[in-house]
Amino acid sequence: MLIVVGDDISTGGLSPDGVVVMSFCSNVEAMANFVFRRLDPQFPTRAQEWGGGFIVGGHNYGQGSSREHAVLAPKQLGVRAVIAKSFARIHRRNLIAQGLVPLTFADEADYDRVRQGDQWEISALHGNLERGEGECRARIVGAAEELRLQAGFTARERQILLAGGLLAYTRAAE
Amino acid sequence: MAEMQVAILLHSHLVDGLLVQGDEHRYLKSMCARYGLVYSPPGNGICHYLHLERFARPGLVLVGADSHTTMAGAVSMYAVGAGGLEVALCLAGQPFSIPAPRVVGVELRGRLSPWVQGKDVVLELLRRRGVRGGIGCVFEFFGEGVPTLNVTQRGTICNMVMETGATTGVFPSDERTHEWLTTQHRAAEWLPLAADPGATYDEVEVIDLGGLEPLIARPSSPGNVVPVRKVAGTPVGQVCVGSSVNSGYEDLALVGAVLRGQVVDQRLVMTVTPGSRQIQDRIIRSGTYLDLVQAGARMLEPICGPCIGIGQAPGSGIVSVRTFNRNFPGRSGTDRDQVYLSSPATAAATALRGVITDPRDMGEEPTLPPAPAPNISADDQHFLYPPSQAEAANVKVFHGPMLFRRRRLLYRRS
Repeated sequence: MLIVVGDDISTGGLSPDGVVVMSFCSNVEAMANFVFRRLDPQFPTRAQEWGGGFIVGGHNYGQGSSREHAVLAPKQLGVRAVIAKSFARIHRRNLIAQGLVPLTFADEADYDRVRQGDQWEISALHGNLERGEGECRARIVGAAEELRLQAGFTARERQILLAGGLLAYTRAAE
Repeated sequence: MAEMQVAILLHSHLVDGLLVQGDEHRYLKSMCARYGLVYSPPGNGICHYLHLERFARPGLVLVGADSHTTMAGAVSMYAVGAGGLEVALCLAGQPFSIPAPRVVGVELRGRLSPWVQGKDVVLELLRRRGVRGGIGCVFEFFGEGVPTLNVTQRGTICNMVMETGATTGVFPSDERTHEWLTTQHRAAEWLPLAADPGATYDEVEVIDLGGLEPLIARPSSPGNVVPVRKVAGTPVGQVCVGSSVNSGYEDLALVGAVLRGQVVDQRLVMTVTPGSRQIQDRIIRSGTYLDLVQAGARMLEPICGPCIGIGQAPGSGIVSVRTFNRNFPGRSGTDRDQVYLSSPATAAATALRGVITDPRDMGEEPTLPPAPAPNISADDQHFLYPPSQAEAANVKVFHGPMLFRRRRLLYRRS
């Protein structure tokens, strides 16, 4: 677990506004150095050292602008999924389009159990998606209980995720 | 499935002159020529204003790669924001889908009082519902108050309604829409559209326009709305008028009329940004531009600019009052920024007094100068329409060295 952030994180938190960062807007590798810059400047280094992982957010994660950098930059750092209490519409779709999985807590209270640095396994997710199951389980290494996560997707969204993203899905469909 | 029309215009976000942006503009210009898109060069305006002026049509669906695409709901388009890749696939003929939203009817009653503007209507929605209160919803406006709002005001409302998390907002297409399209020489594209009589909604909000007062969103969320009088007197170091939500002709004409013959308070810096070259052209001919210059406003070109921290990042701890749509932490380009969001009327009153000011304290609302007719060629003569298919096939898409990394990431096979 790379980071736990609060409610209403905007895409500007992930991909900051301003001249400095936006001058890299066509250079995802450079832009990735600024993910969560204001919340946690160590995040990019940590994500790379840990070889990627997950982000946990509160309600309305990814509100605001439709900028895709808010997905491309964390993806560059190895983020594979975001688990939140709820998502903003456009950002959720941008995650799916890039093959990152947006999941929600089945029980919101579980958000409080998440700690940065925990090791999570969501091992059955691929099968869950293939079978169209609306729920999956995350095991926290070293903890006894599992977390129930909702994988609420349309059939098309599931197929996009299984293909690895919208571009790959579109290519495969042709 | 609804008929779908997608047009792309560049979002004039970026500072010219940086190597990266120069390469991006060259890439986009060549890409538009190669693949058959209209290219609007930097300086021509913010895409949402250009759409309203020159492209948006009642009854069609618009998918745009910007969250404030919703603004075209002002002329009764079903206009939805999406990520760039989804929009690109629409251009390639792929379907676009969204979960069917709940429909919230917003009944507008009465008419706005002096000094109260379209911005205050959408701030009232944000005051009631916050930044999550529109998730999964489309707001449909109806009622006797609708004809009292012109398309500029409707555009402000539909633009910023997105901040509730809404999928979009839609106004009926009526006489005011017809007026707008007529001044844009597009009367033939008008058609009347309204909810069926007796239509029911998942939920109804009632807003008494006459009962609204000037509102303002405090730092650092568009949902943090209070009456202006509650924060009146707060010292201000910067006032910015513009952005995609409030840089229409009527917005700037009012600010110019308030400032006319006076100068902005010396404790602050003021900037004004027209939304498009057509608006810029029009405020020059109406005299508004000169009023603003003489009052000490710094005039920017038609651009998004300060709204996303591209220029005018406020000094540390400085309160900035902006007519924009977002004040998320750091969006202005400054850490721990103190950005308030208000109407143009509140911004103009604040600029003169140097402290946050309820515009109703300024006496009578000034009369606006006679509005010159829009000069539609101001935008149009700078659009680059794509060449014939035969010529387009020979266009080489420019790829500068600064664009390379992004391409590799985006187009890598998974």
